[in-house]
Amino acid sequence: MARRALSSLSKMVNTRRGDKKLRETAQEIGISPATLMRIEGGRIPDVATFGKVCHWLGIEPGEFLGFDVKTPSATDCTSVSAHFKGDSTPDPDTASALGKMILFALKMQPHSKTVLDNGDI
Amino acid sequence: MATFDRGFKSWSERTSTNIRNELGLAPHDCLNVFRLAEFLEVTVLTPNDIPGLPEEVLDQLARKDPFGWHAVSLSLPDGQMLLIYNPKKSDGRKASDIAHELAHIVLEHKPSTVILSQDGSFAMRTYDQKQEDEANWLAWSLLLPREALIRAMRRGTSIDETANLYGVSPQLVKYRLSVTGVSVQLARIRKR
Repeated sequence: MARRALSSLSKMVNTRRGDKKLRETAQEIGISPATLMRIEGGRIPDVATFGKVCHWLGIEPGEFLGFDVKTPSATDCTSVSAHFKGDSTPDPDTASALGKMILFALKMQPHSKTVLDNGDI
Repeated sequence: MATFDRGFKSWSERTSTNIRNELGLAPHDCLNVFRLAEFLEVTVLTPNDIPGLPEEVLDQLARKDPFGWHAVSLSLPDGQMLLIYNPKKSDGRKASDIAHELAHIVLEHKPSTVILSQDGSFAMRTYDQKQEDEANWLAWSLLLPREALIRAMRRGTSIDETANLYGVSPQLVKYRLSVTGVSVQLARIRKR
């Protein structure tokens, strides 16, 4: 499946919203106006918000992840568990850097194993 | 405004006292977050301590967006807990960030699920506002329990002195004085 760049999400949302008010659109999606504003500003939403926005846009979340959500492969994505203190909608580059840092931290242990799980998308 | 389950705030104060007791501290003593981490058997690191971390990752976290993240904690497959904090913050903020992560561990919160693409270009996570609010409240109760605030105010210790004494920011001292009701409580006593 062709993969959409996550950076295109903000433009897609903004285009779909058109002249509609921010508050009205946010209510339609089921998120707060502040969250919608951050997404339009290029911030990465959390998984639940991402799902709502994709549903509103009428596209499969897997299109951004590069796989078919109905038949995901374990090699497409990695899922790890961690606590974060930070913005709920971080800068995309910072989110990616934190993700990489977690993967390297997990490698610090000789027998570490990353849990593969695509079920949360 | 965060809402908590009934009794959570009182439980946080009791937990703060109990942990200090375990560490041989009085309820009003300063709690060093690194000592708390050691007590909870959590290894505390900065990104620079992680072997092989690519330069572009360090560059993003330390230089391009040094204030865009606070701390991360994760459980390794062997059960060991790791806490990675942002060393670029002020000492007060670092203490708050570390205490927040340790609070998640004390509260046995379910960690966020972080979804990463294999090429590392994509990362997204789940986010639980209730858990974040609880971790904040417990963290701040650990750093600045009511006992400490009452003692400081009774002694006439200034906001800045109190912050310095407990290794936190003056903003946190003001916030805790307000949300714990200590300011109002002491003002009423003084009026009598």
